Amino acid sequence: MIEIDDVCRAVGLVLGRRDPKADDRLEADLGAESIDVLNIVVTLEQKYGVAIDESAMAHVATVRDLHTLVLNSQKR
Amino acid sequence: MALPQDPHRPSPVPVGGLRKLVGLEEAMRITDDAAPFSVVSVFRLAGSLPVPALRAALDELQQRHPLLRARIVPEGKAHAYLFDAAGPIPLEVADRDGADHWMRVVEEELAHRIDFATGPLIRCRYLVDGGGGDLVIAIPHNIVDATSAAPLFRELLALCAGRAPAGTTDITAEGRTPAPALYPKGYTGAGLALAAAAQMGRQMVDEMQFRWNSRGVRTAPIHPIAVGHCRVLPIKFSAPASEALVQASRQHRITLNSMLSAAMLSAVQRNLYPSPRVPLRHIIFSDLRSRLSRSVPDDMLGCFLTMFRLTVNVERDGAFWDLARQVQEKTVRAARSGERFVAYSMAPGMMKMIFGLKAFRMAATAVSYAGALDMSVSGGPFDVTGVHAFAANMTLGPELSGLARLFRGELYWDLLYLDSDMDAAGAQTIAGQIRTILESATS
Repeated sequence: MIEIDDVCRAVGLVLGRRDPKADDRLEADLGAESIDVLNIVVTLEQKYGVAIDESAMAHVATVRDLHTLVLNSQKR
Repeated sequence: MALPQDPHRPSPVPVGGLRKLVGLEEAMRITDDAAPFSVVSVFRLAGSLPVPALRAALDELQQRHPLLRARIVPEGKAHAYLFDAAGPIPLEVADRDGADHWMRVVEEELAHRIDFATGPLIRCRYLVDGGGGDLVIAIPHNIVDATSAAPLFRELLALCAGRAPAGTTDITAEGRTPAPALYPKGYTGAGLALAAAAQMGRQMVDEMQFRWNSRGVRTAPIHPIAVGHCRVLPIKFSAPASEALVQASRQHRITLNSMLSAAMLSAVQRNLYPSPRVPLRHIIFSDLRSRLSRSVPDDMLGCFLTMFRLTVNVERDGAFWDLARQVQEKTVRAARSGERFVAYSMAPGMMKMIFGLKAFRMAATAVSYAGALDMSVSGGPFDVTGVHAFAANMTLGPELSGLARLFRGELYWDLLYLDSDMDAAGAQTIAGQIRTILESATS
């Protein structure tokens, strides 16, 4: 089971942020640019062996949304 | 067949409320003064959308969105939105005359100036036959961008299908607060002035380098504004080809926006700039919504778009991924320098200068990739089978521009050029090379 804290840590690592929270918004709160979001997606894909659907990225705003997306990608 | 319209139909609530146009929304009004500057979107429908249902949906959409009931009027030396002052959304219905009929209608709409003084700031045309229809909607760029267009049209299509739209945002204050009023700390007052001064310094250096490196290189033609007419050239990548682009983007850690930009720059260089190595100006766009001190919801109409103009060195035989990385690095550098806020605020002055001098083109190319678009209307009487969007251009703008998005797993890239810059065959050649460049890079 992938925990939300694991995704928070991965996001923090990519963005150089110490302690991102689950409900932090990637762009608004964490200052992520589109390349940062791409790097986060690739990091999560590699770490958890999932394939994240590009179309589903339209619904991702927060770290929690990313966590949900990774879990859904695992199920497919 | 055109539906009867009553231009004197009273507006739903008393006329009132002014808000001055600022930043890019004012720059877009200035542009529209010279040449119509609308975004024209197309929804290709299969199934049945009766005209009365569309009429009712447009009326309901207008009731929901203050900016769709607004006009733009002179206010002292400036211009302002006057809310609750526009008549109903014009709807023109015609029999569909072939599969490409919508493209001719888009070109007509790109050339049609929406009357800001009378409003409303939206027009709709519906081409219909027994199998479905094409919905063509034109909106001035002042009040819409890629981010707010998607929920607006989802709302419209849901209303057309007789559904309640999903949005929960209170949009009664739509259009009332301009982006600069929400700039984050560091980009207000003296902070913005400092950032603007730094940006102007960088631009001066960039301009000198650009001129030096452009010696002996073709200069883009400058025609009178009235000479150029927008021509559309949609290209589409199959689902497997689109997936290959996504995978290559992840493998190389280059955004799709940078990949599309590199392909367009490379093709334009090969066809229009025959030198082995040329600096080209390229425009990309960014959304301010999530960068403001208070996030603006996506479903609130407005112009929260800003732009970065990059100078990119393009080599005829250069590697695609090197060029894409160059675009990406310059984009990130511009974004992190706060250029998005400076560019938004300085846009009116820039446009006045460009129209005043009439001495240079803003850029060679421009690309906007909006991500994946969901326009499904589940269980409705019609289905959306294709989505296109074009932003108008004029003779001082880029030589080739394009809006792109993923829809149902396929990349739609809607290119736009001016017939004063190239003919249809020349544009087709460039489009073909764009496709070849991307397919080679991802094979």
